[in-house]
Amino acid sequence: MTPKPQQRIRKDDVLTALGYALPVIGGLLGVAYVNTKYMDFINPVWAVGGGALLGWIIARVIRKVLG
Amino acid sequence: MAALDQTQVKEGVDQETVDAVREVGTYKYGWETEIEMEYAPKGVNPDIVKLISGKNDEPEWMTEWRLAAFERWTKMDEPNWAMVSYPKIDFQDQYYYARPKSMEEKPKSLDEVDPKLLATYEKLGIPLKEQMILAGVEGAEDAPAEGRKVAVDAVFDSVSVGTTFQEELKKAGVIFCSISEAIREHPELVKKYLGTVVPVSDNFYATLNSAVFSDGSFVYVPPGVRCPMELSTYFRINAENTGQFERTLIIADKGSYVSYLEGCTAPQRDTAQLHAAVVEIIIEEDAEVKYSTVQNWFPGDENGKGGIYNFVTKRADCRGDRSKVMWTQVETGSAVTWKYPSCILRGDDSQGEFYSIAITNNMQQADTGTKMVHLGKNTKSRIVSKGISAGMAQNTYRGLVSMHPKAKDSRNYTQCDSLLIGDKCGAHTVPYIEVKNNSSRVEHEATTSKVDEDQLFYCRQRGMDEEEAVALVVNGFCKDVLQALPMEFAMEAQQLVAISLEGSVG
Repeated sequence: MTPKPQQRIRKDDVLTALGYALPVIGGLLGVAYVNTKYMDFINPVWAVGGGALLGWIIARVIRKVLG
Repeated sequence: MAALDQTQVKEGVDQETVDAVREVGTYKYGWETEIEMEYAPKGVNPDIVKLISGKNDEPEWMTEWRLAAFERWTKMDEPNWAMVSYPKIDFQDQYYYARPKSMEEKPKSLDEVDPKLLATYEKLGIPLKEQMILAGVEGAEDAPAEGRKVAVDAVFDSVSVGTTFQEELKKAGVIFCSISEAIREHPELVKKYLGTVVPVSDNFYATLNSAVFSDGSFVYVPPGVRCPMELSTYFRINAENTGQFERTLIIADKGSYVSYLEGCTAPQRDTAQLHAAVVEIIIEEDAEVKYSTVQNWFPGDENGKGGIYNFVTKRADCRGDRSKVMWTQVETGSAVTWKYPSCILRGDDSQGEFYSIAITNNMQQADTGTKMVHLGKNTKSRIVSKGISAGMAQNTYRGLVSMHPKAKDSRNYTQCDSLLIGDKCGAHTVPYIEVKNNSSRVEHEATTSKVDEDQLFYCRQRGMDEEEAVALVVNGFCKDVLQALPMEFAMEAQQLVAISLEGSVG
């Protein structure tokens, strides 16, 4: 009997997805920060770019540790 | 409206419908309360100043303070630099003190309250619970309050009729009362702070106010207290040929927070009336104050007859580090507006925000803006001003941003937008910028535009009439400021924006 294909989410898939998801979440958090803390006068380009870069770095670190 | 008066009403149309149609586009609060009033003699002189002081049972130091202000005022000239024109005001041809005769003695029960006074509050939309307290009925504070609490101080001509929720506020340590009461009950606080933000000789109208102010509101929030409810003052001018001169003093001690709302209306008359107010706000370390105004004085008729001459001095002094102030104003009324709410950012890291909508229609004139004076390090300010002109109105934004030598690394952002409706109105922008250090940054953006024909066309395609379409476009134009208003005022302000522009198209 052939075993049924398993639909379990594999660790590699999650780690791969994190590489895309965290920079996006970081960028969105940057947008939120610029709008709520408008008196900090942060350039939105830096906030979005910085958030995305931070998300990417975190994803890399997670992949290094768990991958 | 005159055309409507001459129109033959068809048979079968009831009077209620005719009245409702007649009401559309007219000033909603233009009615007058027929109530017996007590007046001081006309004109202003040392005797009148003493009389006002005496009516409020003030101590001698206060009378002396007023007389010194009057002495200075007699040597001052009326300012003429603002972009407004109006007939010369005869300061000796008006009353400086008027109060309902029924307010001579504080009523002890509802039966004793003048029913006309009660009806006035009801008509102005003040809830019944508050109505009882506003009329000065003892014990009304114990009645259950409905919905969100907003403490109200109601000023009727020259007197504060009453203040709600005083006991509840007292439990939190907050003092909220009329300024006349504060002078009697808390002289040490008044003496310490009065005139320290807006000095007696600050300007012509502030000096006049210092001499003849009759009432107003006083707020003290002790250290570390977040005021448990919104505070508000409702100013009503009712008496004819009478000026209203109120004084507001707000003190937010270290780490405290308070949100204060202000509303005002006046009856519809052919003669202009004077309103000269002073608002002083003191903000200590880590404290925050939000001050919102919806100014809806009678703007005069479409030919510029009548209306209120509104000359106001408002200033906040951010004395402590990390203190914050936020001014939000919606200016729709007044024949003439002369008003520049200011922020003195003295403490390091202090912040000042100013959001303003100034709508002028028909023959209205508004010269308004703000002053941001940066004195402390790393101070920040933001100005968002929206000016809308329609009919033959003139709307001027006049602002000052000043970065002093010690205000290192300070920031300012100014956005000043003007919208023109029609081809006979005017929008003017007069920004002053002074930067005396090389680490601060100032940004100024300004736009002037007409209502976009494409947007109007889009709205009209969806069944809106032209006035509805313009109101929608204008509300969109003002949304940045409307969002900054507290919930209590935001809806009212949005409707007011639409009403103020009625009759401006077509």
